[in-house]
Amino acid sequence: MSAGRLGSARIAILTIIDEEFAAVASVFNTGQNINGSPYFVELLNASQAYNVVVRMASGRGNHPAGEAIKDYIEDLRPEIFLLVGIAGGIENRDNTTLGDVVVADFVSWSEFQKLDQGKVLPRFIPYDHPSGYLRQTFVDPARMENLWTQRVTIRRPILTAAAPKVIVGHIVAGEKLLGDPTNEYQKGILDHFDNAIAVDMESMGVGRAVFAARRTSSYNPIYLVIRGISDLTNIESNAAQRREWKAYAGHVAAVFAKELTDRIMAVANQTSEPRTSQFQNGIVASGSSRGTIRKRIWRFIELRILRRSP
Amino acid sequence: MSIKDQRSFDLAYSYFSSVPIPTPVFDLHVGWSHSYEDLFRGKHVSVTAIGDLIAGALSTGRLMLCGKGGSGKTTTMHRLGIQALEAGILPLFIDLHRWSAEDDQKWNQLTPEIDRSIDYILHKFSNPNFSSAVLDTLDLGTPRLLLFDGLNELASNVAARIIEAVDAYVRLAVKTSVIVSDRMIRREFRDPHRWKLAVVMPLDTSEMRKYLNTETKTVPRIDMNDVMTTSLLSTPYFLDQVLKTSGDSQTRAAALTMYFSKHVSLTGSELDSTSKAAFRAYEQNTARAFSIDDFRTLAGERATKKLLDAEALIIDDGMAYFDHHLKHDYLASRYLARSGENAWTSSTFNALTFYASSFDALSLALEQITIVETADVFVRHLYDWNPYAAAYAVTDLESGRAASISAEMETVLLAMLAERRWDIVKASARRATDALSLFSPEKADTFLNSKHLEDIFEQLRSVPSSREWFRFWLQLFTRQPGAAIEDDLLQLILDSDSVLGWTVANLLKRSFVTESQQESLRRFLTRSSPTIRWRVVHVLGFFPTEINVKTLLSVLADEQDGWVRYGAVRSLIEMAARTDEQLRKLIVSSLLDFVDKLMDDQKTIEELGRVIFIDPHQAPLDWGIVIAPFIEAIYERAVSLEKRRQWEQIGYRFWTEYLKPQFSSPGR
Repeated sequence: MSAGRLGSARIAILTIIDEEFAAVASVFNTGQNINGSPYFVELLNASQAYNVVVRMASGRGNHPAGEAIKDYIEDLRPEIFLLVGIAGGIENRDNTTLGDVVVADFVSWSEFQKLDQGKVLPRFIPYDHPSGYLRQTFVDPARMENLWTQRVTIRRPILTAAAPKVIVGHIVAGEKLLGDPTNEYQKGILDHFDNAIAVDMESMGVGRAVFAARRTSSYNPIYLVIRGISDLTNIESNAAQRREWKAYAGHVAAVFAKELTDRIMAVANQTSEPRTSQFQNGIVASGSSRGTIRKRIWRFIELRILRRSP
Repeated sequence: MSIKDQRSFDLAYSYFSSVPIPTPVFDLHVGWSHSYEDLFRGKHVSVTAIGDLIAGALSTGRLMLCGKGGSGKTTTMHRLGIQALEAGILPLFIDLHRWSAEDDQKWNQLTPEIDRSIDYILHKFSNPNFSSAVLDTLDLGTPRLLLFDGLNELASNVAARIIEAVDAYVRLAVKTSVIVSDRMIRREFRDPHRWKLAVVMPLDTSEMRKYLNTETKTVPRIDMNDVMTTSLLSTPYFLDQVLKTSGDSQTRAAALTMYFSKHVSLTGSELDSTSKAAFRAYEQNTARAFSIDDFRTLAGERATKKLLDAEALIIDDGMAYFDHHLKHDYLASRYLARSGENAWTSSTFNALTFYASSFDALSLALEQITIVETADVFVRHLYDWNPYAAAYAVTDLESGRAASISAEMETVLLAMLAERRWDIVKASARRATDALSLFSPEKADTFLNSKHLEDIFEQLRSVPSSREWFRFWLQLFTRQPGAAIEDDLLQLILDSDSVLGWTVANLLKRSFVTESQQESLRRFLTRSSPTIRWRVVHVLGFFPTEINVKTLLSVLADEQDGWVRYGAVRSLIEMAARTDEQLRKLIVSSLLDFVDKLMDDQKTIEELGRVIFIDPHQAPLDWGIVIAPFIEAIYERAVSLEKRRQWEQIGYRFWTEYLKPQFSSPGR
């Protein structure tokens, strides 16, 4: 890894609001601050090389998110960025419900438009989309195994509801907090991006900063967006939903992010073990109980069978 | 080290070792400051050898090295290049002194991608000549240090964009740091914490004594107790000149006159024609580089040849420039100083200073006006054009020397700047404080530390003077706030004397002005002088009534002069901040109706982006909510990505200052 001004990081996590930061810091145990900086790690070390670093952006919106990523790049040159937090879901889209975790496979930006003779014409700027490699190699297996939920320690607001699930889908990033289902602008956005499953205000900023950083073949950062659904933007009571589900949604997003980082680090740290055993490495890394290991082995076999099916 | 890296280092070594080292080699030091305020006031946390500049730059990636003209910045940058090489850091020297008008045009056409901007500069001005792509192919562990010399040579808006491009580049390019040399002028940074500030210190007396007053040296005896002399010679450039020309000048202008007459051998008339040519070069190019043919036409063949033979003038790729900008500044300022009052206009001041980017030439001009009354007139004209420039010009004269302006004029300048410290627009208040900080503490401290206008009045009343104009001005300036104004006093806003006119304008703002007097002011807007119209719109902003709002909106719609339009929009914002909620909303909604038209007036839009940031202590509670839609409207209408990004940053900054405190935990 090449180093930045304060050291180096393999995985850099960005949160936006206090509650998200608190959730991530708790799950990742990143209580130590790199002095004079907004970065937190599990343990400071003299080599200044860190596996995971966490920070909060200075504010909401794509601009501060992008600025935080650029600061990260200058200070720690991370290889992987994870934007972790909460987002608004959209009811009746892909079975998304409160407390689910959305991982973006595509990010749209809703703001750059041309107003011309009563028409709203889209305009585009270049930015990176979330990493397909990370999604396929780490998100999908974690999602399919679905054992990460055992690490969730916060009580779900509605006990009778199903456990959180991970949904991979399209996120729309804008500059407005969408929370009024009667608002014409919001309705227009949700209609236009009819396959989006969540909305946020930071994903494009991250994508744009990562795109700008891609200057040479020796530095090739990639990112993921991991969002817990705290409310459904097209529901009247979404403000109340948000109050009720915010903590839980932030926590599940942080837990899933932890699952991913453990898997990523396991692969990064493995030496001569064959790739097919990475699930076992993942099992060992997550420190599960014997009963859970049995379940996982059965799940592993099940998946192998599924793969062989036409 | 890879072969590629080795070759790069060889090229850098080849360049830096080819740069002539000025002799004698003065022992230079730098003072470090936490802020521009401290820098201007000469407050340093430490003073160190120049070698520490490299470590400083590497720690945060960016360092601004400030210094007055002739203080040794370029020499320092070259020395840093050598020191960097010795430390295994690859240096590039980027010489911005050669920036020309053509570069301005090409730069403005560049799209805002970082690499294009940086590569334009590197391609044209860097030594060794590397592009950003070449730098990116170096070993990941190889530190790079880019030395940008001469930011002050550029117009303010170009300099601002270069800082932005450099900052953006340093963020993303691996192991890259920059040092930028500049004059003593405040620059805006995206993240001030990432910029270290240092200033090249004047030579101390012991360093000067090493080279002067020794029996073996063929220099005239210098009186080291003479403050004016030691002040001049503490500037490395002038000490060097004195040593080389055996001169005994006490002022910069005298030293440069001696240089041109003795060393270059220009006759009196050749000096005159060269001065004119130098001024025209600034006027036509707004840059240090100019066409040698145009110069030769005005200066004359013989004078030009003498300058070239003396290597005072250098030709490079068809363009010419002086080997030191002070020589060009001196010649151009000499022409302006001798041209008389009729030539002291906004247009000529803009030409001499690259639109208020560099004020060295102004102080040189002032230095050459030896009659006090004439110098006062010069300063009055300067004040009319740019009050801060007047302060810079006056304070840039050597310390200890009685300014060629009268003590009363200096007092007036201090008082009028001090009044601006309470301006509701943060940028204006800060500029006033910066300008006051340049004065010596004995002169400025009282004005800087005053808590109320009455404190300043008290200070002023203790200034002894028999000059009638000063006593009249004092009477005006120290009138009690809130008092009624006589009609004949109102008329003084029309006075051609800028100090009197602006003093009355500011006085009206703190006085009781009747509706009928306001109507008189509104009628003055038909006057032909844009300065008068500017003063009037400045005053109307303090009287929030619907009719004044309508008047200012009409000015915005119909006024031809850019400064008056800017004044109108500023006054509308000021009025919105001071008035009740209802009128505030009316003003902002009216401005919203104007946005489409305003988008064609980039200068006014840019000024708007500054004036909306008002003193939070004076801002009404709903300021954030009321102004935010206006920012959004401009953002949505911005056509280019760069403008959108600029307004995105403004919006974010505005939100942080005025909205975030209200909505500290905004839901999701």
